[in-house]
Amino acid sequence: MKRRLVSLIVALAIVLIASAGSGLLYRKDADAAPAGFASPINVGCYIAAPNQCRIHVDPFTININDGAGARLQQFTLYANGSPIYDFRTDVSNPPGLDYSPSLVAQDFAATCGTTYIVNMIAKDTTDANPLNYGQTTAFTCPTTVP
Amino acid sequence: MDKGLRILTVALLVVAAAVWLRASDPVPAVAATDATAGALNAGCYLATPTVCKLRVDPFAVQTFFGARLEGLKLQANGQTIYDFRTDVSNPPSGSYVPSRVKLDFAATCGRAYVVSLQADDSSQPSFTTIAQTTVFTCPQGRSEVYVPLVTR
Repeated sequence: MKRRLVSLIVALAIVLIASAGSGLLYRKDADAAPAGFASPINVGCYIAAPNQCRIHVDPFTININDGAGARLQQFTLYANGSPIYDFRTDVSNPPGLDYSPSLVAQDFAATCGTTYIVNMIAKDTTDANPLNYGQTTAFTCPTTVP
Repeated sequence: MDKGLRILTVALLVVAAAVWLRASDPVPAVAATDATAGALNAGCYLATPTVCKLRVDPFAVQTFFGARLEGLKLQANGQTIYDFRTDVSNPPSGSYVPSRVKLDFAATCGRAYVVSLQADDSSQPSFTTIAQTTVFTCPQGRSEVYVPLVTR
């Protein structure tokens, strides 16, 4: 009985180690999959003046479920989990098609030397709650003026 | 003991199957060439009498063979002035034109610069330089000195 138990444990250990090595068990997720309709965002940080850095967001389109008659209600841009841009649509006539917001005039405030991840949470009328629609990989604000 | 051996044999067969399955995953094709950019054109100007700024004209970055653009870095004299990353789930492929920043880039008046563009795409392990300007010099700003005037 004892021998059988030991054999079983050894066999299980081998299977677990092999699975981990072959990537079956501990496969790293390649992407942070968007929860809403994929709306890619591309963002960077630059130095505008000594000790003044800015986050710049390239133009993006929010893909909503317009085939199902969805209307865009809101989106929020976050930098490291803190909101930097909170946007709402018209209460009576929200957009019923994919929506491309205009760029802000002065870019977003950032701290030089800090590493950021920016993500976009949005909600259309078919979403029960706001969902993550797009997210960047990490980027770092410059520290000094060249 | 026989039973233990049988269990071990089954376990080894499972391991072999797992390794075989993993080995038969298709290997993604590696792009034959790096990402490239069209001309990178940039200059320096006096934004105020004492402040200089670097201005970079719009440029396009092209990736090949299905590679995805993962990041861009603009550097002035080897120092990063703009660190840019693409969407983690849907990075762009083919031709991409980043939009211009709103405030332009900080610079030091009177200094000479070379601006370069580095790109990182899914076919490469790291950033590589894909475009560069020739040398240009920022205008000499005016330094302002405040002299208090005492009158009687």
